[in-house]
Amino acid sequence: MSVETTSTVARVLKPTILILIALVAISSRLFSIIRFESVIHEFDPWFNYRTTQHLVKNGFYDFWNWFDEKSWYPLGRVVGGTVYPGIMVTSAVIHNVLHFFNFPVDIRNVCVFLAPMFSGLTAFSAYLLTKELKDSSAGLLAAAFLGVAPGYISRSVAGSYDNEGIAIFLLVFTFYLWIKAVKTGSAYFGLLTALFYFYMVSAWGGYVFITNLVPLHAFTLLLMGRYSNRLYVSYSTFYAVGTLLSMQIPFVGFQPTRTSEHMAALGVFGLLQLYAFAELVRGHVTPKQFKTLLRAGVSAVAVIAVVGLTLLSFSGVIAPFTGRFYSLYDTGYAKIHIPIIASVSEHQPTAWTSFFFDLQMLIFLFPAGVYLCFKELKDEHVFIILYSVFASYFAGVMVRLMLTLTPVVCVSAAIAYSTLLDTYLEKSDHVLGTNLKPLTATNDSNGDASTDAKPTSNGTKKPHSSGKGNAKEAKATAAKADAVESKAQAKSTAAAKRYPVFNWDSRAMVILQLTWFLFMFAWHCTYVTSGSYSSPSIVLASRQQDGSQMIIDDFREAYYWLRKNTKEDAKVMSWWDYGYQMAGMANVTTLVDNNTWNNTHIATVGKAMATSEEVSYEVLRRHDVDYVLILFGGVIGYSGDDINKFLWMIRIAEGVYPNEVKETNFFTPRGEYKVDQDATPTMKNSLMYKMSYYRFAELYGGNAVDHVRQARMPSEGPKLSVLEEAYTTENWLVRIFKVKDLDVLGRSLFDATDFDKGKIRKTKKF
Amino acid sequence: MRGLSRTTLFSVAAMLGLALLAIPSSISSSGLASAQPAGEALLAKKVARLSAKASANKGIISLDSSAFEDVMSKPRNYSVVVLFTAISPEFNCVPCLNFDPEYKLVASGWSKLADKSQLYFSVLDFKAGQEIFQKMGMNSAPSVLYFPATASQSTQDRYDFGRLGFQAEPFANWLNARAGTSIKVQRPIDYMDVCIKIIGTIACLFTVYQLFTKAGKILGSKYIWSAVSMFTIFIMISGHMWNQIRNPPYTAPGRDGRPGFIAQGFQNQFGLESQIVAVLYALICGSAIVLISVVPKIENPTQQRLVVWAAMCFFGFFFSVLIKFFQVKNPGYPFTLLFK
Amino acid sequence: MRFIHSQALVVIVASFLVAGQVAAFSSPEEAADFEAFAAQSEFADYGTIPVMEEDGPQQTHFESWSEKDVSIVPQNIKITNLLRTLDLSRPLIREITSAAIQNIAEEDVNDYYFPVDLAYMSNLAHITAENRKTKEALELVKDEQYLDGQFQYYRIKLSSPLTPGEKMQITIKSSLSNIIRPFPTHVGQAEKQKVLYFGNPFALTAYPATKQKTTVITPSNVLDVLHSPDEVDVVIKNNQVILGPYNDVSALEHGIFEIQYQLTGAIQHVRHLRRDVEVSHWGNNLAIEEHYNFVNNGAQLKGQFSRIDYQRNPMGLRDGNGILGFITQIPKLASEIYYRDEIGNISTSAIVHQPDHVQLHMKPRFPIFGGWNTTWYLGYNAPLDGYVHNVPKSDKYILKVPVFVPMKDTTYEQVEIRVVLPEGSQNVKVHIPFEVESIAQSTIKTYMDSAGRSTVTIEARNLIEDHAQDMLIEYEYSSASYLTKPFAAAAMLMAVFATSMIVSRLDFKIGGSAIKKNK
Repeated sequence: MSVETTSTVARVLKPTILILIALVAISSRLFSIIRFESVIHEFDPWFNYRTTQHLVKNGFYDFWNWFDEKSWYPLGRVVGGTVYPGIMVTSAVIHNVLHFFNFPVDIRNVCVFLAPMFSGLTAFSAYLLTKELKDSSAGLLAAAFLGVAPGYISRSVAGSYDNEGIAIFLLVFTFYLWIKAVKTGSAYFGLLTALFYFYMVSAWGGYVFITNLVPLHAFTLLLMGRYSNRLYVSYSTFYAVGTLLSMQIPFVGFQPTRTSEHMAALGVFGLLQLYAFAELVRGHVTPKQFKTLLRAGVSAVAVIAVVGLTLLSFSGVIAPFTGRFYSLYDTGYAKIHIPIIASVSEHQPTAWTSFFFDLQMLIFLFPAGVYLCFKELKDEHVFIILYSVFASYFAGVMVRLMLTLTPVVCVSAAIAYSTLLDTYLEKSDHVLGTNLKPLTATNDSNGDASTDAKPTSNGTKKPHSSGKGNAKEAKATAAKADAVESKAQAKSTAAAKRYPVFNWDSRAMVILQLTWFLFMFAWHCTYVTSGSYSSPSIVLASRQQDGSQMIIDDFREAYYWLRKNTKEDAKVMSWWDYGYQMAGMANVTTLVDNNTWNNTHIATVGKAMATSEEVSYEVLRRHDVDYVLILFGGVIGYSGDDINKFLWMIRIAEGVYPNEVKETNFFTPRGEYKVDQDATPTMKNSLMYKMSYYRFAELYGGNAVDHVRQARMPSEGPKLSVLEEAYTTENWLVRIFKVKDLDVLGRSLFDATDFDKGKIRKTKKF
Repeated sequence: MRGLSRTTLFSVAAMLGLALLAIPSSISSSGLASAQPAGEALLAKKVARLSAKASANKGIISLDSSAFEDVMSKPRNYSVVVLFTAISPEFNCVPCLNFDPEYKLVASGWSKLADKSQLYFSVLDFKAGQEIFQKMGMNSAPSVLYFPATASQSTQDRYDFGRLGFQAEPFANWLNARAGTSIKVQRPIDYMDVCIKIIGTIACLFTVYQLFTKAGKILGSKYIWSAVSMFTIFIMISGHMWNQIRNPPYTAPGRDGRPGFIAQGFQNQFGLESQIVAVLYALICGSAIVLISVVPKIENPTQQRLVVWAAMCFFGFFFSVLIKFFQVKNPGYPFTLLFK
Repeated sequence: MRFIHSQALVVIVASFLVAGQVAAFSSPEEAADFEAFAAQSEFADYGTIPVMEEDGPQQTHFESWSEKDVSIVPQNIKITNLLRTLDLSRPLIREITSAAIQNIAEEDVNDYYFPVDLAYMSNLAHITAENRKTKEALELVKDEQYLDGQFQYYRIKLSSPLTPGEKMQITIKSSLSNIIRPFPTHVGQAEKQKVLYFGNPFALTAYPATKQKTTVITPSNVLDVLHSPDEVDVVIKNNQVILGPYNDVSALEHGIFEIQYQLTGAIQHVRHLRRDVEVSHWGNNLAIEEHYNFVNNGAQLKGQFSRIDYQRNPMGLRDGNGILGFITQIPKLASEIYYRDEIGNISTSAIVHQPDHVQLHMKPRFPIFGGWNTTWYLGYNAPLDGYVHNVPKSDKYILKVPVFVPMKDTTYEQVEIRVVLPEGSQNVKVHIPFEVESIAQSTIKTYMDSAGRSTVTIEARNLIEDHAQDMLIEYEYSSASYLTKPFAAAAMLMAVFATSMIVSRLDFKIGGSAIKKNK
């Protein structure tokens, strides 16, 4: 059929496909709702949800200055200054717009469906990005991949209302804009990049990835002798505007000028200015003078820079790396120095299985794509290469950073895949003699302006930048340019004698196999998504003997009991994992929560849990705790309970109170971690142990078995004197204990309990 | 010769003297022995003996069962650090060997101190003191126990290798926290190493300078860079960092004696395992690249067909191997390609 | 004997007070206990402690002993015989007074007046009168004119005027809510609770009665009359207490009668119920949503809830006052039934299909013991046909829905009913079979509304099962307004497309021409 018709068909087809992809991306994230209900998942989302509610109810300024006295009792928390407000503001805006048009959608539903909606946008921006790199067909593939890749779904299913949900879209789109800016060299795109960078900064701590990757790209281009006014304009615009904007977020504040994470960007900015200046000077002086000037200038700048930086960093104006980032570089660091970071499961390194689980066949097509990027080595491909290398390193160090890797994997896998398809589908007749280099040639002929425009603009820029002057370095640059040109020639000549795939059978086999792999990929993604990534960890589902699904809803049972039947300002102590959920669902005051900003406070809670009743009662009274909440999986075999997390509590506590808590005392002489009768006395006396197993033995008439640790418990359970059981949920999953008040008759609580048990015969004194 | 011996004699005598001098202060400080003069004398002798032993062997007293009992026996006005270890090769206890020099480091650091504050370093090898191991319920070596002067034998304070690691510095800190000493660890400078480094760097710089003209080409050659970066990527996506951080064994003996290279558990892997995965990835990726960039360069149709088929079979085969591999790790996984 | 015991307790408490140990009562529960004790002590011996100030009914009684009250209604009737049954067998107390009356005046008598102690007005949930013979209901109104310091008189319009000397028999049924109070105030989770009833041993009449008798029915034999007038003899036969018969009781005679009896099970009380009824002609759908704010007014749980004791003998909970679940009725054709609370779906509910309706068994997240609260909301959709019918040949529609669907033995303190009518409906009229606090009309905007829907908000207090009748809402809804919605939607879409067209034709490029040159 004629070119026009193809192009028109394509013009109709592409939006349709994109819309379909978006729909697939959204709907494949709804398993959790179909399985369970429309509810906020896990831990952090509950905080975001709570703050969003506050924002919607009390307006932006109140939210901005919100001092939350219900968390980190008695310290409280300045919420406005310690959050990335992006996601809350986003959903609040959506909510208000809908209400303005008389669509009274509940804010909960906005929050629940936010991540899926944005995943659609992410797919679209993946399309745009890849289109810049190869062509629109590759773009469509990339969109499809990113739409369903489990590595991204894992953090963006309906209900997981977390920063990553929108951040990944912003990441990809910012990169797209950056590439666009570098290609066109327009301040307009530079500005857009800066704006979306700002949005990203407001949304996720991962913005540092952009802050370092973009300068790195610019720097690499400099090294490759690819300095151009396009680069200068785009980067300068991006950096200047972006940094200023990012400093408007209170949580970021002046970091861009202080912390080491942001130094690279600043440095490259300076470097570019110098380089540009040098270029300018070069035009106005004789090469000889320029040489001397260059020498002097470079050495001077180098000296100043080195001295200045060292001074600053020693004087502490420039902060050292923060723990989390430090743990990225020195991988052993966290384990020893920051147990809190080490204790978080998503900060663990990534085993190969996770890579395959999250990306299936993309993971090995990804390097092929990188290879192709090397074959074309345009500015944007350099970017993708850098992105791939660094993202794969970070993903290896921390599981959660799979998230930043996934987009680039999808993009470059898509490039590889579509190149394969191009090679084996292209019509043999008009293929002869053409080559893949100007991709737009083999590209379906709805030629997109930018890629067409590129080579010409290159052509115009290169001589312009290296043409002036005739001395050595001029030659050098010229030589470089020549090298590039010659390589290009070489490639074109090499690629000129390039043959189609002659035999239909080989074509058929390749295409069929690839298609089949696509199917497998789709199945895999669906399987993984529905199986592993769609349970809202606050409701557990278990299968009964008859195969029917049983819902275990103990968390909400306990939280709702707290919400309805404790006094308004009740203070509930628990391990920090449940802080956000309690604030959100139980609406009580918590001591510590998932925003682990104060190690000492957390250690104090750990100490209260790990020490004997006498000691911890002091702590409890001092923090006027009313209730203590723990998780206990021993009855139904829920392995994520507090006894299993206990070691972390002990470690963190020991870090701050080394004399009161000693990890070794919780291990038997044989170095085992036991809870049955061979448990160490320290273990048996610890508050956590007592609370967990309080009256547990009675449940099975003396011979109880802890189903998590497979331990037979002693028939004589622990006694509690300073606490009393307040509520225990249906499956014993959550146990809440009330802290007793001081005894009315001024006895020690131990005597009191003994007396009540009728142990000691004292005369009641009036 | 004789002079030497005399000097040694002198020194020994001097040390005894010092020890004797040290006793009264120690007694007064401890104040438990002062009750019974008999114990006092006994204690004095013991302390003298210990100090002698210690200073004889770079501040470390090597014990056997009887010696251990003797050291531990009351009265005791000094605190003791005991390293339970198994140096001798038949146990091939690698961590023991690793930790031994570090321990020595700390001990020597202690012996440099002016105020030794009644602390003694001692080593009990498994061969020398088996029964002590049993008595103390030691079933793992190395392990370090600290016995404070006042406390009895039963209260053990164990150094946690798992958390603090085998380095000398954390161990020294741990000890300082307990014994109230201020032991500093000075590692002896390995001049050889330093020299090698210096020379190496110089050499590198020189070669770079030499090759500077060509260096441009080398650094500029995108083939090198692509090789490097793709290598990095393969290493990373096959879970190398996991090995770096968790450092698992390279292989582990499987059921039937032969070294098993697949670790149990989804979030667990062996060194070899990840390397195998990396190779698989490389093979599949390679065949894809062949399909993309080699095939169109082949002029001869039959040849081309051959290559295409070969590459595609490669692709399919290793992909199914990979999936199978994954299925072993994750038994629930429903999909397979070639191998059921 | 309980009574003595309670006094003993009082003494203890008092001694605490004297010893200035109030500080000892740090926790609110204990403080509550204390007040409760004090309150009980009040009944036990007539001493007055300031604590009683806020206690309504008793207060007025103490005053009322001072002087003899005189009836202010015309004394044209005398009661020849009166039987009064006080049914305490359920938390909601029913009082049935059937009186034989005779006209003693010269002219006809049309009205019979029934006095209610003002202190009880707030508890009086429901009152009806009927002719005892013919069982026909008699019109009964609160008479504003006859209202003195202590009594509100209800005027009962006799079916036919009573000629001089003529006799007839009438029955007055009244239901009183929130009168009984649990004592002792705390019980264990598997312990039977006891409650106190404090009231009038005589049937309160506006006319002298030659003969009257009161029968008190309690749920079980475990009962204990703590106080009754000395002049009467109290006969207790198993679960009944018979006061009287007394002869020649003067008008408005009253005294003190206090009984403590065993009342197992919860005392269910809905603090606030909001019922939303939304009519949609387009979807031919009636959407109903009910928000409950519930509390168990039974004796508070002693100590704390112990799961293990419960799991060891679940039967034990029958004796205690913990609530394990509610049962409510919803229409047979209801669909999309949901049962949620502030933090999501309550997964423990079951639906049982009955021949004429659907039973929804709601199990709250946690068993609700005395003093425990919870909230929930449930909703469903039902086809509109069963509820709305069109007055033939007119735009007039009539909506007929129950005011609310009651749960058994439950008192509703505040009920707010919101009926949302389709957009553009006019001249709304509301007919409710009983008197309510307020009826207000407003408009609210919801999905795709331009003008907003006219809404009726009805507020009522202190409702019980007897109020669960149908209400009629009459409104006009023209077929023109029936079509507004699709037009509005279409217009909106048009706007969207138009804007997109315009935007796509604009050029935002800076120096766009320069870039075009490159192309």
